[in-house]
Amino acid sequence: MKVLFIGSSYFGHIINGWMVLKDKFPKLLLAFYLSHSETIYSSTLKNGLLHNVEVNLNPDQIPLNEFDKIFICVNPPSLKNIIEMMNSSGYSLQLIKQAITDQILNSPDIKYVYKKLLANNTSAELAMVLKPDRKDHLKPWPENEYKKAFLIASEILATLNIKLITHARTLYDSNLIPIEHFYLNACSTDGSIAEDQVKVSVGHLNQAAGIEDIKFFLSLN
Amino acid sequence: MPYSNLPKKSYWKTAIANNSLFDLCDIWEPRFKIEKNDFISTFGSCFAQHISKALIKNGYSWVNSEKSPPHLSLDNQRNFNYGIFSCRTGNIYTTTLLSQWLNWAIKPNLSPTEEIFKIDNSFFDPFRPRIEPLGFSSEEELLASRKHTILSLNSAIKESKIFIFTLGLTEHWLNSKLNYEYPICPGTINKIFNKSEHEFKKHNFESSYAGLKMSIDLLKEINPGLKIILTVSPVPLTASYSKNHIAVATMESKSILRSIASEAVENHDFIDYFPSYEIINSPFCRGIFFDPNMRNVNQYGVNFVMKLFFQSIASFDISNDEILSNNIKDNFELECDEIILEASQKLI
Repeated sequence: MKVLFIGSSYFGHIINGWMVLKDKFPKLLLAFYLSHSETIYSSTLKNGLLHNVEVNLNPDQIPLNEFDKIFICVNPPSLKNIIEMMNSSGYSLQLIKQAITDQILNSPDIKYVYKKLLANNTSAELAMVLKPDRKDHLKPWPENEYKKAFLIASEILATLNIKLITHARTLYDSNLIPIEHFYLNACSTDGSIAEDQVKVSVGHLNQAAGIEDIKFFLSLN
Repeated sequence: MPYSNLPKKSYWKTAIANNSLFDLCDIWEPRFKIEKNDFISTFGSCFAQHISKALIKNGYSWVNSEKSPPHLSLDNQRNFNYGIFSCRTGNIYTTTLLSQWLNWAIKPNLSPTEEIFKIDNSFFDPFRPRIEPLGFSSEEELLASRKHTILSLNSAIKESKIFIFTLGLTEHWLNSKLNYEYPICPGTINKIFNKSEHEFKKHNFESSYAGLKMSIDLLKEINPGLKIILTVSPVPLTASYSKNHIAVATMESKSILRSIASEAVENHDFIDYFPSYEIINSPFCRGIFFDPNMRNVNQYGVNFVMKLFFQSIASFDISNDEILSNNIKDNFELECDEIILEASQKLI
């Protein structure tokens, strides 16, 4: 199986985790098309090859239609925003759903990654991964609100045949708060440990989290 | 002699006959100054939507006390009636409907809960029938939304220095049993018309002015320093239940509304009247500001009205060409409950 990760430094931990796992799974091929969040939006597709001179990982050109699964995480929808909207007074459920729909469908990830690059150009299974941002999780979310928000965002993305997925459950405690340990020595876009990430990162995960996520995303044992 | 030294605007020949229509000037001398940082709220009939849009475009401080959720697209903001009036009351056509809303703004618990229109599994607010395109999902959700609007109306009035209200209709429908007024004939929304409860009424001068007087008192109760500008919608009636010809019904309705506006101005120094009705409807305009159906005001008419409005309040001259080129692309669909009457006629 060939798997492509398109995104930003939020997938840096996957690169690092894969270094540990790849020998155990020789039939699995993982490729990465990562950049800082804004630069990836200027990517183009030429003759089926993803191309962007600023994307810093090789291969420079990625044959899109060779992949079975594609994971996307540049600026995915924020469940925190959705929960806050659901808890605002005066808004009907229909209105909230419409606002979330507008937010997701007009997001750069959908406009520039999905519509410009992926739609009509690949038959791969598409999945959007939630941002591992700890800022969104400083206090516990009621589980029913979290599930409701996740369900709403999932339904909207499903209309584009994109599956919304969380990170591995093992990265969170029982209150759905991210475990700090997985943010220590976090990885940057190329998989290295960035100097500014040596302490506990706010939004980036480390190699251990990468191992957990790869197993979770690809149902590996 | 009394008529010998009047200003040019006082004579038909010098104000109208000798001039191009587009040189029309001095048609309104505001009673009070309006600065760009004065908060202004707008409510009323369909035509009021043009005023809010023009205020925003020209840098005035339009009050929007009921904001849409973040990220809702501009199209969907309009679909859900955000940014049309200063909060989501929907159209307020009559003076008595305005006083009904203002009473609720002071005492939110007065807002009735007995009657909610249900179509299939959706719930529609009889007082804001088109506020949610597909209706609410439950009665509780509908009432919570209405309460939010009522609180937003109160805060819009409190926040405003100027309240602009566009008078639209004298014909209206009541629930005679529960004693409240609808913005539109109830059967047109949910196809259920109850002859024993749903009652047609037509204001005369006295009852329409009484509604306006009550509204003025309630507005001043909420915000004693509030100033009010009244306008009369130049848009003719879509339909009349008065048994009069639609042209006769329109003239009667507009004449009453025009008269009560003058009466209010005569009796209150904090109320002014802006003559949008005259600018569009006067014979010297020869009907050029209407669409071919002679009902909808075209974008040229709207721009001309708003040009005169801003010229008068800001005492600066904006060339008509500039106004037309700036605004002609804004020909948007108005959100009008009344248009449903026309649609319902086709069903007969």
